[in-house]
Amino acid sequence: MVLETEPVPFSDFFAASLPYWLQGMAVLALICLAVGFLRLAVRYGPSRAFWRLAESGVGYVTDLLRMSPRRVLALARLTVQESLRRKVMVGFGLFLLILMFALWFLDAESPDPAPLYTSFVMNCTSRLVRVMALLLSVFSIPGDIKSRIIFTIVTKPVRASELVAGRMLGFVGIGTLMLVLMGGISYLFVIRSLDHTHEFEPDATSLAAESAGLGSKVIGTTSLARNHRHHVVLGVDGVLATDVSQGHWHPVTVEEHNGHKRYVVGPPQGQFHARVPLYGKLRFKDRYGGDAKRGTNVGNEWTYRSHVEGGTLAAAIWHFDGLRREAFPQGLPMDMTIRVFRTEKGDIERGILGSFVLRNPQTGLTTQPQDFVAKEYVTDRHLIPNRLLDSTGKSIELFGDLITDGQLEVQLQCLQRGQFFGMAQPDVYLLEHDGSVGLNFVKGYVSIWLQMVLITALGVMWSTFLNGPVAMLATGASLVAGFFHHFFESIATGKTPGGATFESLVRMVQHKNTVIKLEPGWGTSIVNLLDGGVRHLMKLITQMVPDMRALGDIDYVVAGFNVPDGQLLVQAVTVAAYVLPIFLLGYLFFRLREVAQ
Amino acid sequence: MNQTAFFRKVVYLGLMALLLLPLYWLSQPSTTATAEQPGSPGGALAQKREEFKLGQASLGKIDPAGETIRLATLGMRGIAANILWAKADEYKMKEDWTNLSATLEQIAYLQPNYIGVWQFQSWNLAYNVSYEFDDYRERYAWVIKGIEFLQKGIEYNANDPRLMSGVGWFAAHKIGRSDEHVQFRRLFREDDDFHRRQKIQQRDNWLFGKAYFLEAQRAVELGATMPASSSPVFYSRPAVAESNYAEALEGDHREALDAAAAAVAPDSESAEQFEKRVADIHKRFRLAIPAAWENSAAEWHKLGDRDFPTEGTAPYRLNDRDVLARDLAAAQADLEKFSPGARDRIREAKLAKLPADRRKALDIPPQDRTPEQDALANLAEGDTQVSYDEVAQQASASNRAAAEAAARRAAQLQEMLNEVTRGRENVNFDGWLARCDVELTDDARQARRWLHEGSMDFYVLADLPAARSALEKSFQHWRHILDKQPELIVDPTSFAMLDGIHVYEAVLKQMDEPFPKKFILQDMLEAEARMR
Repeated sequence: MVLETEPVPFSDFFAASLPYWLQGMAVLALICLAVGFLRLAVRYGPSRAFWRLAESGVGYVTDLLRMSPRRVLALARLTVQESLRRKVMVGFGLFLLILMFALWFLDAESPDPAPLYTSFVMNCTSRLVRVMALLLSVFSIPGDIKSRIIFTIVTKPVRASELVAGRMLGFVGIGTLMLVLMGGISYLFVIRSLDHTHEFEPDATSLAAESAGLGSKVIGTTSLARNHRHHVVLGVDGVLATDVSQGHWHPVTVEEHNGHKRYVVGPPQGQFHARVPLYGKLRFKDRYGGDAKRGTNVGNEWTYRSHVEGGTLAAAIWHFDGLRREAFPQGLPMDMTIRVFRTEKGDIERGILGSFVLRNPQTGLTTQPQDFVAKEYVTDRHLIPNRLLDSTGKSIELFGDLITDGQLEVQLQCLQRGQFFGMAQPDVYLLEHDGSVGLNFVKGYVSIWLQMVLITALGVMWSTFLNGPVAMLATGASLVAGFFHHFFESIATGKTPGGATFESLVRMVQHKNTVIKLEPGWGTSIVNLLDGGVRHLMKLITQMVPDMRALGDIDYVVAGFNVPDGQLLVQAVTVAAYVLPIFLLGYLFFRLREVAQ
Repeated sequence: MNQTAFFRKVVYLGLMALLLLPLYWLSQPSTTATAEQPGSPGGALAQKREEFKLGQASLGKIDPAGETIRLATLGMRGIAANILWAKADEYKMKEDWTNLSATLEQIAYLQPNYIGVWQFQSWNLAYNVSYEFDDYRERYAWVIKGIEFLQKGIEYNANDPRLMSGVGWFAAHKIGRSDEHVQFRRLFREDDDFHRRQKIQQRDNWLFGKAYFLEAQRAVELGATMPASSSPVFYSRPAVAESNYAEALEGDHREALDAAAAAVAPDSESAEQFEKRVADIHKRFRLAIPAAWENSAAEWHKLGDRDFPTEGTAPYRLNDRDVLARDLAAAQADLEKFSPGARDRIREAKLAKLPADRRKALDIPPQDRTPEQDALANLAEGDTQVSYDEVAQQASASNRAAAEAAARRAAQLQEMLNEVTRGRENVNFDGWLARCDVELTDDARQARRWLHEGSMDFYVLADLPAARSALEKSFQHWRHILDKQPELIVDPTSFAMLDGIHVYEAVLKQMDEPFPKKFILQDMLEAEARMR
């Protein structure tokens, strides 16, 4: 799985974010107080304004503290009913319609259809739910005000805070209901769409080979189904199974009917995973054996992976920590996804040879090198047994001799001169276990739910003081800033090639590419000055708006990796940290409106 | 007030209704004739669509999935396509092949009649993506994906020669000329699933490519625009594919013998059975290879007889070169009669006017010139060229008109001859024809036979003296060929005999004998070294 940014453990995240969040809340409170004071000072003069502000402040806080969960729930129920009246289930109908015709558009010849199908249903759900949350949340309060329904509510013994909270909760409730329905149907859709089997009728030669018990060998090919077929392999243990094609395999069983053998190909296996990996820290050695931060750059545009040169001392070393005997009773299953870069053709029929050794980072004890042939774009699993041989040929224990204090190093090298292996940190990991696929699917939907909660809160907040369409634009703009957070950040930090807004404009007009420097002069100085302002604005936006992409875990589910629990917790806390001030702001804005007083 | 507003609305409605009339005139659909009523050609747009074959039905397959996706974009197809292209680039950069493949499908749904999509993205799949895989089987699968992507494009754009040529090119050159061509050709031959889906049933990649090149030619003959290449190049592709096929059979012959040798199971097969198997292979290829060269020669002769249109002059044929050269010589002689010695005088005068550095460069023999001198000499050649008209102007007044007529004829013939020569050079017409002629001679057949015998003696039977003797016989036959056609020495890299020489080297090495200093094909070896 590609992990361009490393997940942060919850404790680190919390320790780093809490002071920042408290600071932000304090600044927000100060801004609110300052604006309130100015507003009152204009009306009543500075001295009376202070007492009025204190009085209002106490009123606001009391109002908040006296919120009744019963009334909030009642308002939430009303919101759900109102949403149903507004035909919110049309969104669900649209989802069903999309699924009905989805198979027309999904690439049936995809080399790995399971990730494609999973990605499709999850992204489809995520987008629909986001749009639905936005539309529902922004038009509700302005609609009530316009139709004067709000007066029938505010004249009841209901607090403004309860009304805002009730709306938010109600919309989240209806969204959750739809998400649950969509999630369930999506899961069934993916499982049902990818379910298939093949037929297998071996020829006479294959049967002879099978009966001769010639060991692990291909004894035939299955029929074509879903644009692929498999080789049927007779394993050394005598078990029949297919090879892996389109990311899955099938068990093959033999049934006897009146003395005739019938081969039955079972359902697809291994299409879905929820691998729980233990990642190590990657470092490199250069061709002379010296320490290096990165390997060789072979000229790829994408610098995610770097390469080690074959036939030299260059190596990639993963340092693993936290290994426990109880977690790996059968040995260490090590998964590798190594890229190959050839500088010469070599032997086309054979893959490139590599080897890895295990090393105790504390004692320096190493194992004998284990050779392998690099396999690209597949997960190549190597089981490291509990008993191994060290570099002198002496038998050693995995846990005890090689792993002490839970630490182990894996050193990987390419053996063929002139050829390279490419890798990134997540390309080699130790598999703790395979988690529950269904639960992982649910976790993916929880991350979509978190995004929906945030959008709903934003929508309700904007709608407390803006009319429907304007609130929709404001929420939409917040989402654009949230989903393009990295882009805004790169502009703010000056990492975008070609400068910020004004420099880009000049380049477009002058047909200059991003590499050519602008000629120095007063014009360029003005452009730089204006871009400086833009960068400050972008910085402010990135500090205020949540990174919506960081809240999504769809990529984990699609790639077949377990969504780390810590990450989900980080995301949940992030959403809560945003929802609280958003709610408070919404409440504040709503209370300032005449209708709520 | 209310009355004015009502009146204004009525006027607007009236104007809208009026605008519908030209819209009706423009957009009325055409209908086909039935037994009950005659058909209608439809409105102006329908007629234009029919005239320029722009209707979806004329362009190719009408696909409900594509139509739906285009409708679903609510007129923002261009924006959607742009986003998808950017995503496809990103997926390619990030090596996400599943999503790349899916995105290309979606782009194709959005822009099925934009040929660039099919050309660009199929190239991406067959060349750029396939290259990213280390396993040649995976590479092959992506080449096939590229070919099938183009074939899908043909479904949507029936009779588009660019796409047909593309399929031909991928099948012929990507499979037949890659580093992995031996493996690719074998996989292509054995790819039952691919061939089951094909309309053209041909298991050899060169012949499969040739069939598509011919389809592209047929489409051009039916009125489609020719792909952006010169006419001789476009029309030579089937002949080139046929020649390459014949050449590839040599490799297949060796491969079949190697496979037979590798498959020998000492206990289960007697020497007689093995020899019979080898004899069968020899028999099969000894019939197939000359037949392929004969077909190849026929294709080249057919190409030579094809009329190629020119701008302003009559169509020309590649086979006309000798006739044109003879006619030109006659026309030049005619002109010379009217202005004897004029050409030399004019050239001398022009030479006299040349700047010193150009003159000096021209006097240096071409092989001794530096690049700068070569450039100057070329300029000098241009400055001192004498046109037929200039020669005609030197004729006496009484002969001037006749001289001018002769000059015009000579110029026209010269232009056609230049065109023919360029065409022949562009497609290596002479080289391929000579190759076909050579390969069909008795010497070539004998040379091939002894070469294969020698290889078998060496690799399979390990009979070194027999291998040496057979290979030397083969070289003698090649010597005869080269003595008859020394121009073949210029580029010997594609000849099977070079492999034989390398086998011969290995034989001598094992016999502890040095490679002869005066080797019978030494000139060939030197030419090979130069080429490499």
